[in-house]
Amino acid sequence: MPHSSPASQWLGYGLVALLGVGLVCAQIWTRLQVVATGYALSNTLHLLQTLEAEQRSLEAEWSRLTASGRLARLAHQRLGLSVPQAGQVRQITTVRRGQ
Amino acid sequence: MEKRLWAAALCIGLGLVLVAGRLVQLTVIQHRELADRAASQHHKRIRWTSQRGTIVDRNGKLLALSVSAESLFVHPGQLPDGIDEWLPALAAALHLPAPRVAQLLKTPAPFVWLRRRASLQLAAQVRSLAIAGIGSHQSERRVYPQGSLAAPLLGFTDIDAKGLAGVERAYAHHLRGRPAELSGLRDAFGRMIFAHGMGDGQSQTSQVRLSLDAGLQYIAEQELARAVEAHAAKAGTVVILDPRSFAVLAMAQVPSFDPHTPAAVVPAVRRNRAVSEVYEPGSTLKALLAAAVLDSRLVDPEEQIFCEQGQYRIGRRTIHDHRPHGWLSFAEVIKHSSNIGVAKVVQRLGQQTYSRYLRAFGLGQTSGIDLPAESPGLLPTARKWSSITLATTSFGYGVAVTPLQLAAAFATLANDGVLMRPYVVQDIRDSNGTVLRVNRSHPVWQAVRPETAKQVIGLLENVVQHDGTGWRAQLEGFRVAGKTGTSQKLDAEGKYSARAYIASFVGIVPVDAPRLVIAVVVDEPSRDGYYGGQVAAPVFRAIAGQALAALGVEATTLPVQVAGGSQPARPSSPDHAGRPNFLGLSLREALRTAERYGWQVTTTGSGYVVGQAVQYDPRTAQPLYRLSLAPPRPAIVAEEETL
Repeated sequence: MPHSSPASQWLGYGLVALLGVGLVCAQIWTRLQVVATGYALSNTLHLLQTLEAEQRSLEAEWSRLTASGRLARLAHQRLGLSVPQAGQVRQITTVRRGQ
Repeated sequence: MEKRLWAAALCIGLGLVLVAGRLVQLTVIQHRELADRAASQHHKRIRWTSQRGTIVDRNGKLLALSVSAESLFVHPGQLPDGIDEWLPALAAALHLPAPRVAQLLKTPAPFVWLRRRASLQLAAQVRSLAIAGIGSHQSERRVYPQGSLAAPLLGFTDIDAKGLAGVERAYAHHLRGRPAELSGLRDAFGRMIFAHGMGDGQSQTSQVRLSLDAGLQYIAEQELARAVEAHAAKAGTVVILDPRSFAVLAMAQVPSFDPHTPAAVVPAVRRNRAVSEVYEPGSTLKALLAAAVLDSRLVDPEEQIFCEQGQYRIGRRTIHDHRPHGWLSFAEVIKHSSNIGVAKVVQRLGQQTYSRYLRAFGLGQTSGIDLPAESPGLLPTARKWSSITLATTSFGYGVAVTPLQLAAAFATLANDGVLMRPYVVQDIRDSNGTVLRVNRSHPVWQAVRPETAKQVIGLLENVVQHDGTGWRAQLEGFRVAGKTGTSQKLDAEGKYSARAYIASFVGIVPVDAPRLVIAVVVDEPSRDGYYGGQVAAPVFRAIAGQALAALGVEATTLPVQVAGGSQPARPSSPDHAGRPNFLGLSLREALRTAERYGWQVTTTGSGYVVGQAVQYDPRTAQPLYRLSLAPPRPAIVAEEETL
């Protein structure tokens, strides 16, 4: 079994120590990233809930504004439109040339 | 010196032993207890409650949804001094009068709700005032964007978002949704850290899609409200079914209510009249009688029946027709709605068979619709029927139906005699769009033979002809079949009132390929007529005209032209567009003309041609002219049905 010199032994110890320190740093960095991501998730969840609530409010408002009764009232009051009587509605079918 | 060293070493040793002992106590003996305590301090579980699901119509139009809200509360004991300084601002933010707010704040209770289910904007305004003692609690608010549209069908919820009526109640389990639980770490400020992910906990909110068409519902409600107002009626109901599937397309009633404030009306107004209220259907039931006798082959449509000139005695009771009739064919008995005619015919059928047919059409039992509080109606057991009961039942007295039952019975005729289970919910999906449940057409049984159903529809088409009781239901461009009904209501003493009536009309359109069955019931019309043909048939016409246009159903016939009475025969040659003109010709002249030009014609009635319509064969595109004939008379006036 060949003997290594003291210098190379110290170099080996140094490398192992460096590797250990590196691993510890990586572990700390990873842990910090996990916590940071956890905060980001928490914020995103809060944002999601806020946006969902806002979306629902907007959907409700959109539906209210496009309700048949409201549109009919506006069409009558602002544009003077009225419901067509029987016989006033005609279905028009377009036929392409060559058909 | 050595002793001192030993003493110091002993003290240090004892100290180390104590530390080691404490270490063992904390890490070994109390390990579980302390670990749990640490976890409870660091870990946090939150319950993410999903909001109540949405309800949409068949086209995805929102009918009901929940939005986030906040309930504002106050601890009066913690309020700051100087109420006069901040009270006006608080009252303005709450949109309440200042004295009302002051009254709330001065209560001796330790906790008072300031406002339940307030909008987020309103809550934010109140919070911005930063008044000590006022807090808020997350909640949700049920919103019906279409207002009162279809309110009795949709139902409503209580303050805790629990379904109390209608679809909200029937599908409460699906609408409630499933809450999700999330767990994570908690930092010193109480903020959540999802250091181990969020898990697979995901809240589920369902979407309930109705078979209802919001556009048709609006049309039905508008036209019904117009009729109820015009005739100063007490109430009204409309049911529209698709006879191909028995899907409910509209269910309207007047009066109705705002589902945001259901407590503002009496319970009777909140009740869904289409499924919960029963009435005696009157002459509309003659359509089912016709189906029963024709299916049993006990009568032929052309068989002559003597209608006793308007009075017919059965035992000690006398049955009347509104207008005296002599000999009428069975088809004319239905067309002119003769009570005596049907009372005679039903005797051939007998109690048991007639009762069995009525049950086959769904009377006397719940239809199975997916709505709460459905009434089965009233159909007494046949054993208890006397001959007069049998007679009166033939023209719609002694039995009680819901508007939905009657619509379903007519839809059975339009569906080749097959009764199906009506439904209002088409499908239910989760928040990812995955279908959880689908309501498909569900045939119940074959009530009558398909040929019989077609035969009856033919008879009902006559009712809507120019001299039938339902002529006001005629629709330009479409063939319509239907039956009018006018029934007397029972008064407080249990006698039939001479002033309170129920006017109804049930129609099928278009006859060629039925798309809609519309039942119109108007309760106690008291102005401008009370007959079904006068009050309910025009509502049918108005609704059907708009509904068919909205659905994009193309007209199958040209607009019906009606001659002005018995005019002299006019030239029958084709007009400038190459179309024939039969108006005013006798039957013989019309047939001769058709033969000369090679036109195909069918005729109804006798006398002179007063109406003509054309229908195109979908396969050959050849025109078929349908001619209506009537005896000469000064003016065309339809007879009203008898009571």
